[in-house]
Amino acid sequence: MKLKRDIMPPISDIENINIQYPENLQLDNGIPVYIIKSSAIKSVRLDVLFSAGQWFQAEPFVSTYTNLILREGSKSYSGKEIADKLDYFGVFSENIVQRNKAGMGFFILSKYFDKVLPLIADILQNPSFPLSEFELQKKNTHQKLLVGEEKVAFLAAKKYRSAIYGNTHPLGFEVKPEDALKTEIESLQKFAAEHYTQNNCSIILSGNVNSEVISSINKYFGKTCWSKSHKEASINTKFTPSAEKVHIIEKKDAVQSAIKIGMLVKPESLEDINGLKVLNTLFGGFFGSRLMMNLREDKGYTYGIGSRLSMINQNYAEFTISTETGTDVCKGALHEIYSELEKLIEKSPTEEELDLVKKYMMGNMLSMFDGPFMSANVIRALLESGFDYSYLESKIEYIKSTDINKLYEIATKFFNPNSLFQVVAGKCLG
Amino acid sequence: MLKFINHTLSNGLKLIIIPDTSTPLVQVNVLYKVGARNEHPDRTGFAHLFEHLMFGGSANIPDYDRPLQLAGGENNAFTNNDITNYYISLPPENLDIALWLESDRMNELAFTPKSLETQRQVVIEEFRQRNLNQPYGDAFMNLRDLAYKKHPYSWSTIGKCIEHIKDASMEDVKDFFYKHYAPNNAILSIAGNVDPVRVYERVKHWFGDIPKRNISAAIIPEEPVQTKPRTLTLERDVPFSGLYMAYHMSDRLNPKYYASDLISDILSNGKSSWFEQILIKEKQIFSSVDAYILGSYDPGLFVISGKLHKDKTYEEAEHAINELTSRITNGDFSKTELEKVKNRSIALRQLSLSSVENKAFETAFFEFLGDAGLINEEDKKYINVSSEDIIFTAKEIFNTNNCSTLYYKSKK
Repeated sequence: MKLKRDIMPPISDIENINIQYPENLQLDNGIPVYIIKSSAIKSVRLDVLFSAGQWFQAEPFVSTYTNLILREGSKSYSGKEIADKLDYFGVFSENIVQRNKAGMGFFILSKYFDKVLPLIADILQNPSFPLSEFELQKKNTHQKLLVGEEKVAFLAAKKYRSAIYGNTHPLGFEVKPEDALKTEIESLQKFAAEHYTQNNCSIILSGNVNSEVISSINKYFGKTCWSKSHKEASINTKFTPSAEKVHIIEKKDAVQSAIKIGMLVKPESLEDINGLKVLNTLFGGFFGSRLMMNLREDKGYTYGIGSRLSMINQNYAEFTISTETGTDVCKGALHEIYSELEKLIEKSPTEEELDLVKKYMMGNMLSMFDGPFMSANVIRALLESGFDYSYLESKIEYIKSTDINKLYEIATKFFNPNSLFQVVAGKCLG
Repeated sequence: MLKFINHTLSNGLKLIIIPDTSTPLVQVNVLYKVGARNEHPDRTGFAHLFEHLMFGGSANIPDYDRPLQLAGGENNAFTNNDITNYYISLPPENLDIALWLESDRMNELAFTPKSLETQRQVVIEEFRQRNLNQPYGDAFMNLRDLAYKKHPYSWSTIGKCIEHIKDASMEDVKDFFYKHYAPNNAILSIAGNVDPVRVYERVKHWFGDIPKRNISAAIIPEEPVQTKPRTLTLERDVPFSGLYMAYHMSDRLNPKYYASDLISDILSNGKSSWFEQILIKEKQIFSSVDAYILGSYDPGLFVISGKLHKDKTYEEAEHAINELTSRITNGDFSKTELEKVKNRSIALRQLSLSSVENKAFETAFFEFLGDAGLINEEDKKYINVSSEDIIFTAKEIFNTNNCSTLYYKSKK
């Protein structure tokens, strides 16, 4: 019998997401530890996070510089010794600097875990802030920023952040490359003393986590003798967005322009957040989204366009559309983006469109728990935004049960095109 | 040790199955043995443009993406100089959807004019975004062109110029498809929470009747041995001068590949590497500098590239690099340093093979090289590299007559 290629095989819908919940415990000094175990893996990933992200900095660069200088020297090890030892034992490390949480991630072969843990604890708890390393760090950051100034996407992102958060807000500082040279080492010492402390710390362990690993962690991170800050770290939520909604940064010789359009949104409930997430996916959150289908797959204006809806904490979301388009089609691209936004509030999506988005999102939720390290990423994301697992549970229920009318309500409630900020870096011709 | 099962279908399709119960998903990876290496010098960028067209609908399925999204799946693809690789991740219950989609486009594309027209534009925007509108974005294209005189590695996957992409016709597209896209020129690798017996049965069902095609035996010109140093100076509107050096090295299957990789690691892998400790920190010549290898099917390149601080000259920079490469050729490195880079290489492979995505791709890639089973030999091959191997290989590579240097000068 000839194979019927024109008939789609039946699809089984994803009914349930098997959320991989962590085991929770506390070290002797109260630090919370989240554990995702898998014996199939011969390595451990250790993430140590602090409330030390960009939101907590009083001046630009301090959060990032403090994070980067940790591994340049500690009480018991020089920067060179730290580098040699971590490299020798095949440890891969990651510097983490987000809006709220900052810290370091380490991927460690199980057989070397005990050999490197004392060193890791020392760099996170007892940094020595070597001045010469700091001077070099500033010089190289300055160079990176000068190169960044040549990139339209970099220019647009910088202006956009200052437009929506305000130029004096820690998330919106609009810096010039030479500002990178102005930071004083005392600012880093102060920032570390206040934020890289045991009462601001959480730990995630994933992979081959056995009882020895846990007791080693308690031995090196669970003591009470490492620093404790006196006050709870607090954040500034007074945003001072720019009065101007439209910003253009001219760059001569640009053959493409970078576009950023978006705003801060203040959802009032989990229902609002979940609705916004679904709406954003439909609008610009995946390959089959309206923006992608229109601007890339139909018009060929861009290699890629997308929108994001990120909860920057439990109360605020940043909604941002980003793309790079040829300068010759930049005006056309802007026109299409706004007409897609208008469509969103003119009429509800179709059942068929929503059905596709729901199925795509369920598949996406499934892939969030693809192995212990992916599940560790979920914990990291929850810690960053301040939610717990009940948020994910509510999201799954919402995706399954929402309808086109609920989404239309969300669209008209939040997507007012007049509240959007628009930044174009490059040149805007045709 | 990575355990897998392999089969060859009667039409020549290679199938690799890697059962893995640690994931809620299944990864389907289709590798075609065609890349920029197989292009005509007047039609460059074509393998990559073609990758985009593979999403423009096949003979029986007008829309590739939609059914996959309905099945809760994700997909993407990439092209390099040697291969074009397509991959899907989806719930195992919907494996048939992935096989249906992949087999139909292997069988025959829809060849719609609209798709060609749009994707030409999309690829031109990609060219602009990655290469033309980025500082230093055209450096590597120029370096390839300097290092290779005869071999098609002289151009990047994106192509030599936008005109080649603009000129692509439907006839070229069809011609390319029938020349390179065929079961006997492809490797299908499936990793995840699946039953291997059932997977084999479903693959035979969907792919079994696709006809074998005549794959044009690739006549790829060999690169003649370089006999004297080559240099090129470009002046660009960038804030800092860049230095790019490319040395010819072995192909991916040659035992010398492993020594070459470890040499690049001693020089620049990790914070303790020589480049980081000496060139960036101690001498402060570069703000960033890297050494890395292109592990390509045909003989590849050992590349050193960096951005100079404003107050440093090319002479100082080259001298400092040559001092370090001479230390390797003179055997002036410790046992511990060699052990360190081997440890890192083993840890990196373990990290990489912790995801099903990489398990599926890596086995397909080794099958492309000749045998999927080679994936389990990699650690041993790295461990067996001796100090003498390092010295011998370094002497072959770090010879000024073997080097192409691009001076990417700041006009500012």
